[in-house]
Amino acid sequence: MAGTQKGRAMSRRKFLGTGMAGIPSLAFSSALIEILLHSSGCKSGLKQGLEGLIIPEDVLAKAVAFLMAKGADFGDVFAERAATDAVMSDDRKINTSTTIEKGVGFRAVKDGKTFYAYTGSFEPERLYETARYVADAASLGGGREGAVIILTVQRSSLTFPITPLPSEVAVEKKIDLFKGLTNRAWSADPRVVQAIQFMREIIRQVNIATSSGELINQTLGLTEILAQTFVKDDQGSLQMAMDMRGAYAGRDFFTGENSFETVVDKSVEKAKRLLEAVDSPRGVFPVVLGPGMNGVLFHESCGHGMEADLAFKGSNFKDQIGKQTAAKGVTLIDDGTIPQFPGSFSFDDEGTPSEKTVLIEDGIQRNYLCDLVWGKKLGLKSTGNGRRQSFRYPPIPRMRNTYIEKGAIPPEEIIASTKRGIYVGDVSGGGQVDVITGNFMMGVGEGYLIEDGKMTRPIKGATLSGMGIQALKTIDMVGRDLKMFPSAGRCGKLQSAPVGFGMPTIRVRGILVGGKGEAWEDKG
Amino acid sequence: MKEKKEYMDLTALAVDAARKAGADAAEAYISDTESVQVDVSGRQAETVNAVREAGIGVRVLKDQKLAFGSTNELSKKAIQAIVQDLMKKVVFHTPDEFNVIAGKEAGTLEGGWATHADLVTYDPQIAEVPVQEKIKRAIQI
Repeated sequence: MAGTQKGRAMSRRKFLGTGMAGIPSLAFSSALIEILLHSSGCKSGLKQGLEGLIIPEDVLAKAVAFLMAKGADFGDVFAERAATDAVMSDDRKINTSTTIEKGVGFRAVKDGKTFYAYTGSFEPERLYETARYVADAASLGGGREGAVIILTVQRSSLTFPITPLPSEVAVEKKIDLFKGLTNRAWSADPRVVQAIQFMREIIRQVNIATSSGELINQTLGLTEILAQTFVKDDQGSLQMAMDMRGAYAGRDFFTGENSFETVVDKSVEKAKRLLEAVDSPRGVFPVVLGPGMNGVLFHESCGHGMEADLAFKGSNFKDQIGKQTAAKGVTLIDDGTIPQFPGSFSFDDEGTPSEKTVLIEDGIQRNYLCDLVWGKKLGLKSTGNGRRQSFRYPPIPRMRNTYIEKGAIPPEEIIASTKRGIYVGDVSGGGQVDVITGNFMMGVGEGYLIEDGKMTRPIKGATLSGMGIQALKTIDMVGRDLKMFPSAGRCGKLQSAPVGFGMPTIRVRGILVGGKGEAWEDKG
Repeated sequence: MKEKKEYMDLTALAVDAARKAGADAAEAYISDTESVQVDVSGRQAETVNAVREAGIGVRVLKDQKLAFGSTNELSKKAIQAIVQDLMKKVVFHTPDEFNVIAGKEAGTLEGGWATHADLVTYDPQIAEVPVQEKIKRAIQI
């Protein structure tokens, strides 16, 4: 039960002055890392429920009650503990790093404004003090002092097993793996002049207690690998290529085309191919985008504009529901329920169940990506897209796994029907985007000329520029070969978030290709 | 300052634990940050975020091998656990002759370092401005 708040408003000085050093935590012991990695929430099948809560239910309920005591419209308490283990091989040198973090974030929302504070302590009194501080900051009159918050644990059929747990793999085995990957890259070709491999394993357990009475206990294990290879030929041409994978899973996920070895091999192959490549032609002509990773282009140039906060603030997808924002035949989806994919979860970071959200259906805008705050401002319900990087941040609308739905055309037919253009294998060459206007520029990491309906020579130095809506509206062919890409890339929007991408092979006619080669026109 | 003494004790604890576990040298770094961030959109405060956090980073050096770990759990047991984990891992790292940790071999510091007052990089009055005043100021801007 929430206590009476009268006369207990806490000054900022007092709030900030309450030191954290030396305060014992509820959940950590001397075997800190082992507890984190072996906590009941992390073991087989990720047990959900009250067992394994980071902070006791009654403490969470009381903290939420304090948060709501001064009239906030709604609020939540977000407790988190996370362990990150990273291994890196750079310039043939192998190193590791370890990070253990914990904390609790408090959010009170009043009239659409968010008031937020966090603490690194799990000590109950410290939690209550921080909750009262946020409640005071959000106070605009009214209030429900003494309100009782009854929490009910939420359950989901979605589970994200971590097999094996990072702690179940000996350090020696991780180092041996990296020695093997390093040797694999360096011995692949005498022209390799530098190679980097990076792997990160994160176990993150969160408890979310909301003023609506939801209680979430969720544990996710994220494994990511990235390989970057530099090659140099006799003429001094230096090229770089990279590849990556990421998944909410243990390393058992990384087999076949997602294996660590494949990631290294692909980065080497792509870099070598660039040495043989010709300069990309330039101009506006058909661009065939290969399946999978290229979905990042639409994530950047279109997906951000459909995030409810940016749509509310005036992105070029604002007020487009029911209107045509893409070519007929194009369906854009954001799905947080794909097993093991890096943008998936059972509940988002404000307790809303994850879902599959259709953003554009057959060319018509159907929805936006909403959290509770910005969805309400748009008059829409949350789509389960409220995400936060950690307890340090309030949730904001973020994408999950964003992809273009498959069409009906065989991919080879798309290439065969293109007289002159380029085929883009991936856009891993870096770039930038204005998320409000959708203007983008992205570098092609792997690309080829299409001449007389056939993929011919590899190209280098190609860039793709355009505007998101324009690109979507000029898609004239959609392949049937939808491929999802479990990316290790993080989406950055003041906070970083793991995301996935996907798409089938498509053809676009409204993108400007940059390059040092000859000027081309659209000849079909 | 009491907090500073606590922090110095914790850094010493980390360095001592590493040395006792066989490190040639060790370094501990504690940062303690306070901040208030006000985001204004459409002439209204959209988000107010108040923070105080502290954390420790530890580097251990053994046989020219360097390992790093960090945590914001500033209990003695947690810091000792981090150091133990680093010492377990560092032996597998690749040695590099350029891996060094600056400072005295014993891992202790003498007094006499420059303070914020000496460097004029910190105005303590900023912390005394009420958060509502900061919100007003942000909206004015």
